[in-house]
Amino acid sequence: MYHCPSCGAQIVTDQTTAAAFCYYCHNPVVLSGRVSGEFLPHKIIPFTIDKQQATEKFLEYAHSKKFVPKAFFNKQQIEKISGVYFPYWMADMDMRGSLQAEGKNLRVWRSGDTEYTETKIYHVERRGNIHLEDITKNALKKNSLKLAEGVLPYDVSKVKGFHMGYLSGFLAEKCDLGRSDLQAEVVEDAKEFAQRLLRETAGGYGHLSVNSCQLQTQQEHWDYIMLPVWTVTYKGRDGKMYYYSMNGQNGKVYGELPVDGAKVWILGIVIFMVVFLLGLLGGWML
Amino acid sequence: MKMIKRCLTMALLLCMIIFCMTPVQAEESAQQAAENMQLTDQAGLLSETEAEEINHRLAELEERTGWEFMALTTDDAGGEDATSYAESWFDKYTGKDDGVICAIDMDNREIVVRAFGEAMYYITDNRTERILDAGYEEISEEKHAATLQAMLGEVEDAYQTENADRNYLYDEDTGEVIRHPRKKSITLSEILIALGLAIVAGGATVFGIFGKYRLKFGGYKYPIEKNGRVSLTTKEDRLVNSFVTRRQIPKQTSSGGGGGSRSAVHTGSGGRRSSGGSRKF
Repeated sequence: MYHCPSCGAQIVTDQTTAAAFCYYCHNPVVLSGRVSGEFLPHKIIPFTIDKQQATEKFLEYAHSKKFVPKAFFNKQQIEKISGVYFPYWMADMDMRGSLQAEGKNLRVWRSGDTEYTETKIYHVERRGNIHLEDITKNALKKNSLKLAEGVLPYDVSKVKGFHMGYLSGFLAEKCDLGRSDLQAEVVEDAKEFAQRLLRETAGGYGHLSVNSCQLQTQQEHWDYIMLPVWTVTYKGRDGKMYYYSMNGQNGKVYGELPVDGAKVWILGIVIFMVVFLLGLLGGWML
Repeated sequence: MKMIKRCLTMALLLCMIIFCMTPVQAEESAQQAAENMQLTDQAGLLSETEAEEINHRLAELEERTGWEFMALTTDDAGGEDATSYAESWFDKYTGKDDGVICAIDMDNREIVVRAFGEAMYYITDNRTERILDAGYEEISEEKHAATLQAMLGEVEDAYQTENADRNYLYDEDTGEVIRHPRKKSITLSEILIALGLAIVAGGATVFGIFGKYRLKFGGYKYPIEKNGRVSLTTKEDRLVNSFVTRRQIPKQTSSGGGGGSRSAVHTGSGGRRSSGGSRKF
């Protein structure tokens, strides 16, 4: 049970709420118990975009989309725009890996009426250490994964050590997905990225087929981090609610957009006609 | 006096009318002459019935092809060889660009076929040999009408079966290779290909936009180039096998490139190109 430090009113929150506003006196309230101990974030990236800028950037984004119905977005229709610190896990991975592959190069030349093809097959082996930084995962179950990850990436050079004061004036959520919940997913992703990196060191082959790839995690470092997100709830003219998330650091917006079907189909038909006519012209010219 | 003046005026008027009409008549008579030159039996080798049959054949061929067809026999080539004589004859009497002349030259004892304009793409070197073979078989037995009929028969066969679009001319004088000017047309397969491409392009646009706006694809991708690095401890590229395979390049059916048959052509004294050939008998 939490009480407003200003007016003493009871604060009713979700299980994961870490910062909110008093329903009665509207003063910011940080639920310090939810951002301490095992839930104490290691790092935070503070908001650099304020509410007004967020609103402008959102409308700018919405208006830049050519296939959104005309006059669909306007300032008055924005139901709610809130600055929220969402919890994420950010992992750095050090791995050791080896890759065995078969590389193939072909060289073709002609002499008289004969075409020669020289095939050279190589045994390709790579061993090395792989370092992957900032593999970022959403740490809140109720978040839409698409909206939570759609605002990534953040500029981590602006990361700060966590301090409760950053949360004041914003909403905040604590994580309910622990490191252990995400461990397998992160390791899986890390292996995929590491294999791709090893493979990229074996360029210069016309064809490369990987026979085996072993990867062992040597070291991993996880940070529980709060990232700034503006959430926008928008009531469309069609009566449907649209939800958007905006990176609170750089203003990148992510969310489903309404589509003016007629505009899209007209464009599709125009492209169909142009390609069809060009195709016919090409056939006629040849 | 008045009478004399009137007579003079009438005479002058008549002269003027005659003068004005003369070129028209001359032109008409030249045209008529050309029309009557489909078969010319200068050597008197053909009977009236044979001539009629050949004339009928020539008219049929002209109607079917739209070309000029001529058949000629001569016993006096005026010092020219059979080829030059036939070319000059065609030049002199044709009113068209395209056509074929088959001739029996008793003076040089030679049979000849020459093709002009579009017909050159049909009367290829191979076809010329077949036409001359057919003619030679008959002329050897002194069947003159049959010679011309056989040659015209092979010309007709060439028209029906040759694919002129694929054939090409080889100018013996300049070494130039001339492809058949393709008729600009659109085939059904080209329409279908254009339609397929248009459906793919239009469909990709529509579904691409719907998909992007409705978050069906796109979104965050880990920036592996920026956030990942690898330091290699082992880098081995060992050649384990090397071999060379060879393949015979299929020969093209002609030296002109792109297939098709060759028609060797040369430019006659009249400045007109023609294909064909001749054979002594």
